[in-house]
Amino acid sequence: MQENNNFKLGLFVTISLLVFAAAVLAMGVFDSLFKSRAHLATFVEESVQGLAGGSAVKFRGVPIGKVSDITIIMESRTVRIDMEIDLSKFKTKLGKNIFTTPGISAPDLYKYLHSEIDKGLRCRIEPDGITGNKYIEMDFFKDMDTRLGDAEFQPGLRNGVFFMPSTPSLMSSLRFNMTEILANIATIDFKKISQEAVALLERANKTLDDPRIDQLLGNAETILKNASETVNTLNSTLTPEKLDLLMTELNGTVRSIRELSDGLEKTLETSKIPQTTASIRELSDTLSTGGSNIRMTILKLNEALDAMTDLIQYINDNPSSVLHGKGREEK
Amino acid sequence: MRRRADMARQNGILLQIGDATRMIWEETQNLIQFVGEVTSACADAVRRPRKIRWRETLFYMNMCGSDGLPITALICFLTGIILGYQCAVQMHKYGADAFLPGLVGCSVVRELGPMMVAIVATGRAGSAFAAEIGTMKVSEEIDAMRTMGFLPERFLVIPKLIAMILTIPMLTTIGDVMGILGGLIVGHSSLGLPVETYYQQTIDWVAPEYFFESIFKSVVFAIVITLTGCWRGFRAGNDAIAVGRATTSAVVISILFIILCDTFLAHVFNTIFFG
Repeated sequence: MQENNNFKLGLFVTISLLVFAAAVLAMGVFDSLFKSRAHLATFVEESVQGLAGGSAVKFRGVPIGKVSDITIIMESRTVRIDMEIDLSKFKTKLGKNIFTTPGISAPDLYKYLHSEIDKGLRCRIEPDGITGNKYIEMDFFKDMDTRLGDAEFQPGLRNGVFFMPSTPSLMSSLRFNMTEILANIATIDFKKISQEAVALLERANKTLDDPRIDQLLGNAETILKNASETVNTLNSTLTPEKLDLLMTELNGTVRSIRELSDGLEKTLETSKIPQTTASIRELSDTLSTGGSNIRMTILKLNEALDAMTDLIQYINDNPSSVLHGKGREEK
Repeated sequence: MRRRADMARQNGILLQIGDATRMIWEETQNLIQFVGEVTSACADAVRRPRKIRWRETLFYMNMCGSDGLPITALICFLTGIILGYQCAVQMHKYGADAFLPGLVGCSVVRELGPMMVAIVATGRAGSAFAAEIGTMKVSEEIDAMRTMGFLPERFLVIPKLIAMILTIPMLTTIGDVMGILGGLIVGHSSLGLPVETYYQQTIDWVAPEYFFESIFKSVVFAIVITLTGCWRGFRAGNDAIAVGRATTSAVVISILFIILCDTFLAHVFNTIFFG
């Protein structure tokens, strides 16, 4: 038998044992013996596929513990998720050295959680990346539904476990909404719509088969041809040079109109329209009064003319009256 | 004539299949008997530990462990680099860089670490055991032992078995760590993952159970390698060529048994313990 090299063997065993011890310590095998923990539990009414013992528990994204157990509560058809929380992750305040500041105790954590639940702190199952794994997220979901009806779901400390309220996961809510949408879609009478669509298409086909449509299309084609010719004519008539000239002229015209408008504005400003209008109104009144007077004068003149006519008629009938005057009336 | 030749050829094939079946059956029977003899020797060793040849045990520990450490560590380290690099290239396409530590860590600790160490140990120790015992068989030392009333299984196999059961888990532990280190180098250099992040991710992904699975597998592999190596040595013929043949078959059969055991253990661990 060959002589054994004890030094080499001792070195190998020492290195191996050191590596083994370092690996065991790094993996936190003895964490449960030295770290103080709090126990939380929550109830969910959805599938916990992807969540397993050892899945992470996070508080606003900070890993604070792990899922210790998942059980089915047959009576309430819910799933109970038990969690172990590492208390060293919670610090009361930022001290001089965050690493030497001790963590809080379990009762302090329960008290803190109770106060935060009133502000909307809930547990929710969240997907962990693309792996299909899930974790428990504790965050403030104020507007979400929460199951708190039964006494066993009320938050609080019972049998050394603090019960947290939960809220449905995003996927669960999405699935529920999708189910509702599908149920609504199911109520639509697709058969009737299809029949109506077929009938409409048949009617449309019949309409399209009408000979007048061909005639109409022919007319439309002629119109389009004429329009095309007109456009071509316009294109040939309105050369770019002519268009430029036209535009220049238009600009000049617009400028003249603007100047005229400005002049008119000035004229209107200087013409004292209100005073002139008042004078016109006064003149109108005067003319109206004068017209009445003239009308009265004309009536009197008419009366005078009638009297003159009667006098002339009387003289013609009784010329002697010019000498004798008007005779007495016979009785 | 042609028909007779066809029949002769068919008979030849059938004869070969029959011979192979008979040989496999005989070998299986012999293996079972050998396992029984070693179990009996183990029980005897447990009853009377003073009779164990501790000096030889330490020698084999040195041979299988200390001498095999550099090559085993290097192979595991390179395996970690290869795995890390292949995964980094593929995972980077999907933006899944952060999962590299978990993938390398779990793969190395649960499968590749124990497997690579076992394969290296098969090449080093298993073949050495087969050659040693085969040579003793050729020189009729085994027969002499039996004549003098020694049990060769207890005398030759138990020290090797104890040495392998103690050293292979140690090598596996170092191999696991070296594999993770290889992945870390790739993750840090190729993907720019900070060392601290890589370490933390590995700790998060590689559960302590995986580490103990690795150790358990390595113990099973150590038993398989020792038993196969010694068995092929005892089954060696009485000529010089038989020693080489026994060595080759020891390596081939060991690797086959290791992979079979790994398949079975992977199923057991995934369904029973981590299911």
